[in-house]
Amino acid sequence: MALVEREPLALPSGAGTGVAVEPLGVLARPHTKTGWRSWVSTVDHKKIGIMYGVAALLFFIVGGLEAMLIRIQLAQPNGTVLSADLYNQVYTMHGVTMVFLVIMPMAAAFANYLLPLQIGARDVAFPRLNALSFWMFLGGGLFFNTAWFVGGGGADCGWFCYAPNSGVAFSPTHGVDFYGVGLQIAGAASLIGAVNLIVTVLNMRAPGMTLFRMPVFTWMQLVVQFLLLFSLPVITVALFLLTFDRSFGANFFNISQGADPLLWQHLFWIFGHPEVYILILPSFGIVSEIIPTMSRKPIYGYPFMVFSGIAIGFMGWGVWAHHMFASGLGPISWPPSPCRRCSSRCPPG
Amino acid sequence: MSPKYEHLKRFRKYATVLLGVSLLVLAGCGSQRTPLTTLDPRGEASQAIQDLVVPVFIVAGIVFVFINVGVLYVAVRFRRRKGEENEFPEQVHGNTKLELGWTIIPALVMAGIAVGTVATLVTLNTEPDNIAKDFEVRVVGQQWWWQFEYDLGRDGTVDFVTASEMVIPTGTPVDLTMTSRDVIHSFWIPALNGKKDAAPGRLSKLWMQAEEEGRFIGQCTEFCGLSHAYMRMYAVAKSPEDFDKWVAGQLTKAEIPEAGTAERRGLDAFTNNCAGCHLISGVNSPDCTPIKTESEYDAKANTCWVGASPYTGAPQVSGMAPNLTHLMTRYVFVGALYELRNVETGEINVNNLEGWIRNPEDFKPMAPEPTRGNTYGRGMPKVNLTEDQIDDLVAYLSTLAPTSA
Repeated sequence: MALVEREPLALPSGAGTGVAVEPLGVLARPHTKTGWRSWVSTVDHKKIGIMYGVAALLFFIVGGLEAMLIRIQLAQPNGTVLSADLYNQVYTMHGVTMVFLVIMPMAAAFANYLLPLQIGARDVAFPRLNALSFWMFLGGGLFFNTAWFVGGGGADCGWFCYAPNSGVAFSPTHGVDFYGVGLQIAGAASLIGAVNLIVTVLNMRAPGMTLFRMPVFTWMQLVVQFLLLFSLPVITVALFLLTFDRSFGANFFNISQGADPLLWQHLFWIFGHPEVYILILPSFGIVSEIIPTMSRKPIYGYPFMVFSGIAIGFMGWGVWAHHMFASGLGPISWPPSPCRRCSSRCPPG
Repeated sequence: MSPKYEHLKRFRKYATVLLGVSLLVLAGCGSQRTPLTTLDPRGEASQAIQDLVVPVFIVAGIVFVFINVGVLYVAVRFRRRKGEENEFPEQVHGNTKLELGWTIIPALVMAGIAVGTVATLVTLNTEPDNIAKDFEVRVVGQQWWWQFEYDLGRDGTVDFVTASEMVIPTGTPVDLTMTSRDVIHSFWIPALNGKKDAAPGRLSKLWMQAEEEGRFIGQCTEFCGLSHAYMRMYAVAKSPEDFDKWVAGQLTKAEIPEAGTAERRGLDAFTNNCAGCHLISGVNSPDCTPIKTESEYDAKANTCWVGASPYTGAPQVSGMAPNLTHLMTRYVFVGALYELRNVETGEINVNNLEGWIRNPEDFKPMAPEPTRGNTYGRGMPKVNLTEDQIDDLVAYLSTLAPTSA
């Protein structure tokens, strides 16, 4: 039986679907416009954007409290406010929270709210998938933080969680398990969101809006979604390897069984470097919108700005070794990092 | 200024001055002693790094000033003044020549920096021609201390092992090979060279040269668990003559004290409680021939004094504990964190030594208990000796220095 909407969404072109409406009982899509139920069941991009923003701010408070604990501990040498074990947990959780649970969802908040408006679309391409993205992110973030209560403490391996220190032998509490699974869930959420927004931008622009007439923020977000699309699978693999090592006796990072101690570093930073561009490009886009608006002039050099965003997206893939200069990789692998890194600074400069 | 704050306008000047002064004052805050600094190079390698860092910093500083002054000037000069609210600015879309210019010029600057960077990288990674040919050091990081294995003659066999203090001769580049026994650590003596990771299952190379005699402090710089912050080491540079004397001393074995002395009781306490993890050459070296009586002791042969109870040789996840053969030639212990002997007088800090043996957890956080995935703990366990045993043990440990024999 076909599932039919009670009140079908208008298509971007303005035409209706012209299909007869049938009552569906429990299978009817939730429909409330007000009250808390309207937020829990919404697929509207603006409401989802607001929820992303509120969740990001709440996690910001959590991460901020963790930061204050770090600062209080470090205010004096040999401080005794936090034990060494607790400090390791606090600084790890702070890092993960700020990167994955504050900045990324805050960017998603702006993207969800503004992108469809900026390109003249009715909503994103897959509104229900958009809602799934949000709730998965929230679930992953909350799951990650339950380590404090049930995991024997938070993850204590640093936000970058290098193997072999993250293995069971050296991080025996379950905090790192929560890190692995929680980030997996949140990462999947961002991946789904990336697919959604790419399809939206490529397919649902208003008539007459060519790609080079899109606002700069939309362009930056498009680059970010492509970066997410290609970098998240790498961290997904890395987290699966970590989880299997810790919980199912695999030996991906087990040195005594022949694993390469640098494997985690490569995987993490191949994700990690595009990740930092994912974190900053939305802000570049926002600045590039605010300044022209407040100056009441168009952005200076729109094609260069767009090309620089795209160039950052491309060049960011080659430089992950700059997180591994001291790793003993050898001098052949290093020059690409400074050369590309420096040259990727030129266009936006 | 908005009408709400108009009345505060006259304080603007004072506020600016106050801000500037407070920034300068705060900049002066800092520890009097900041030995872990990269800005005071004392060796060839660290000087090469400094020779790159300073010019790049100056270039960056010029760009910084240029950009910030530019932004401030433009923001002030072209601001919307009173009476101009309704003027619509000229809708300029860009100027291709200008944009190309301010892309290409930084690209050229970056290219210049890249040349310098690659050149420095090549310098740091090329083994100098005059590198020490008669010895090399293998640096083994482990939770949470540094072990130094000296291979005299570079023939692949380890001749002696020490911990926490790496002694090198001045004026010669020394070949270091880093590895680890458990997780990834990183070796960093800022006065002498950059960092190199010590990863398990891998050997990474670093060369290090000290120009003058001195003690150069270093620190582990790859997060490795509970006592990562407390995992220090020293590079001690001695003149070539002093270095040769030191090496000769390190090759000697420990003496067996006379029966009936406190030192002998201390040795018994050592073999009963400590020999499972700590090695003393002459007492329990690996693959040694166990002996029970002094008459069998031969300073040249590889014998172990088992005395009343045998060396159990229980393995640890972190490998052996620091080699104590010539403990009293070092000035620091517990991961180079605590004073063992006074640097000026050589007097042994008995309080520290006794306190460490009595309750190691007081000194630095470790995980000596077995946990899931880990049959053996990491770090010094509490050995639960009586006060008399501790006194005897300290008496014995105090004899661990080369004698003229």
